[in-house]
Amino acid sequence: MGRMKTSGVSMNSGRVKVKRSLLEFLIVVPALVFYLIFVIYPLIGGIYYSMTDWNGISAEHHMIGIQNYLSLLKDSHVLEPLKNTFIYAFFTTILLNVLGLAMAIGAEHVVRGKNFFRSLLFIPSVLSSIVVGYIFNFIFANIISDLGKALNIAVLANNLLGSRQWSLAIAILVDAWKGAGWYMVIYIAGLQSIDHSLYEVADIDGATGWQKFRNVTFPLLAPAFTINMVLAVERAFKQYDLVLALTGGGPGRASELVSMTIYNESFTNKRAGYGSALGVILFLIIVVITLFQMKVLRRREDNARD
Amino acid sequence: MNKKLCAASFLMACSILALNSQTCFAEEAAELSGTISIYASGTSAKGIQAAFEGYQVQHPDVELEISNFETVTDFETMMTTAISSDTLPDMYIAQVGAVEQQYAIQGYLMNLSDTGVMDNLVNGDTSLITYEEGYFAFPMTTAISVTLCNKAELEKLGIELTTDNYPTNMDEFIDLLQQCRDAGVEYPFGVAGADSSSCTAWPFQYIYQVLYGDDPNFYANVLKGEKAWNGDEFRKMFTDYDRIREYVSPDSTAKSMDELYADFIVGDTLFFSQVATTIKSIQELDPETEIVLIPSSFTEKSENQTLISGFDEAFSITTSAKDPELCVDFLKYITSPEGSTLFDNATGYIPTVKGCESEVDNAYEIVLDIMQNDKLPNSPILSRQWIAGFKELLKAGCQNWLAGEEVDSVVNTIEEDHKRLMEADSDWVQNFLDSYKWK
Repeated sequence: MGRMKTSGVSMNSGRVKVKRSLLEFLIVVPALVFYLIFVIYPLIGGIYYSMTDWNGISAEHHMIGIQNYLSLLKDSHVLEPLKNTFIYAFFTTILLNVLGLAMAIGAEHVVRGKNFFRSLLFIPSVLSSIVVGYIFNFIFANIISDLGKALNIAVLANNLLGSRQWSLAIAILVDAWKGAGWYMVIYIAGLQSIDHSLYEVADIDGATGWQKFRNVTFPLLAPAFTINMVLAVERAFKQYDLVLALTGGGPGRASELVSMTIYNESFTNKRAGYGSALGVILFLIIVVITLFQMKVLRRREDNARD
Repeated sequence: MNKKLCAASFLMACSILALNSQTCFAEEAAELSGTISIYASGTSAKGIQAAFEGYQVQHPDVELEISNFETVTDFETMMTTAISSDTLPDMYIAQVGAVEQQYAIQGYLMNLSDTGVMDNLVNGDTSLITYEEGYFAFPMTTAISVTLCNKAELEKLGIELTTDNYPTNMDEFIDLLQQCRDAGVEYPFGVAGADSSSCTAWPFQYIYQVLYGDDPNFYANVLKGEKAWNGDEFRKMFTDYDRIREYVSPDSTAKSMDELYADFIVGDTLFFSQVATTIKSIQELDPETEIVLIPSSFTEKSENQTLISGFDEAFSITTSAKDPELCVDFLKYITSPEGSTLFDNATGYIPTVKGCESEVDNAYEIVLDIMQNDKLPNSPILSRQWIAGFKELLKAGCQNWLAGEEVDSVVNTIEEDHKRLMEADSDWVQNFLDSYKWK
């Protein structure tokens, strides 16, 4: 009897589990459908078109296998934007994380009006990239240029966005200004999850502020750091609108990123198949870098936990 | 008798009823309804809206749905998206060019030859609105590529440009710029280096006027491999441009079109190269600005000067149009004297419809005098076909040059990038050369 009762209970609990799983799956279904339609379907479409000679206009296209990929390997035209993209990703990732962390620590140390400061620092992140691009365009063309003229500094006087040497650097700075707020929020969450008793112990041991940051805060922020690093790199490689509004990729192609080359190849040069192949390459670059980051940073998280 | 009268009255009544019902049926059949979706640039959209208000008086059940684009590239991007997702609009109005011709060849556009609308078009070069089947577009404007001059500010400096004294060659134009500088305007010529259209406006005017003046087959020869962008002819363009750059503000590389308009309106810049319809954009910002348009004057000798003009924005009906009859009917209205007058008064476009009575802006005084009296030969602006992507690479080259890159490096890059485009679309090159009429 007892055995039967036990098996009945386990059967019931099994049914409950199945029901719960089914319910959970049903809850996920709407999001999954959207994901399949708006992410997976275009991704598969992109891979398909990357193996065609479609020009973006013609009703017909032909399968050409990996010809576009082979052409890309020999195409020096994509090297400059590729180099620009790596430079852009490298420096924005560093700047966004340094600024985000500094802003998070600063905002957390504010005694009065903490929420006000947090909001203030977060505002640039909610602004449209296009709007930010045009605002800074105006600032560099007028305010900074006038300042340069008044102070007789030739570099500033001639609008830095028109300089081949400076345009990419300016785009990196503006991106950092705009995006740091997002990273601040994640770092604030990380900071708040650190047990305060650790700081008390450090105080008793006579640790300085820097030592507390170096040995307590920074190691325990490892999960937030992982998320922010991955997000920053991924966003930097996909950057388009901000740089388009700010410099249009110019002067010449001095600040052109790969995402802009994809657009130009697909729509301006009427090489939709080739542009798609470049898009797939960009996707693979992001995947490889993200996996590498995850591996390295997860190891760091484990070390910090130990 | 009464019976006969009754019968006759009955028959008459029946006939009247039958006639009435027939008339009603005919009226119902003629009554059009539905929504027409159109892609249009901002300026053309205003014209369409104005003409549509007139059209709606006759057809109150017809609605309009306009999607705006800013540049030709934007339009072509929208079309690519629409083609791939099978969501083409019923109609569009866009600059005619090689890509639009491809739409027709690919079967996306309706043949307008048998609709009767083309009878309304004034004489002009129709090479870019035709394909082997016939006409695929009705041009609503003639674009004139000119030098815009701030008339009021020039007059303040004591300079008045008239039909008798506008510059007719490069030296005279440089003298005019120097005269302005001497009178206190340091940088009288404006370039919006960040804007693709402005950045390439002067080079394209030079190409149409000087390069094609010297060799009408220049581009065909480039495609054939007999001439190159890093050859002496194109290189000379930068030598001439350098003479003008002397009068261009050094901060022009990153300048946007709006900033250039602002400089022009306040008088910091007195001249810039663009298509004539740009006056509308300037007048929207400041209706008081007085402008005068003069022909490009970049040839070495006055006798080689031309007026650069050609059909520009044109209406097409797509083969995906939900109600082709409705679209044709609307096109007939907008290309009628009544519809086109409403359209052109709202856009400020130069009319292309026979009998159109729109008012033309005073700014056109000099160029219209030249056109109407055949004072200068015409350099067709849009009958030159370029391989897709050429404008972008010319822009990049000019920006690099404005930013200080050496001419050798600039022209070599343009040549290299152009060869890359030719290799990528060898079919287009072949088709161009096969159908090219050597001059």
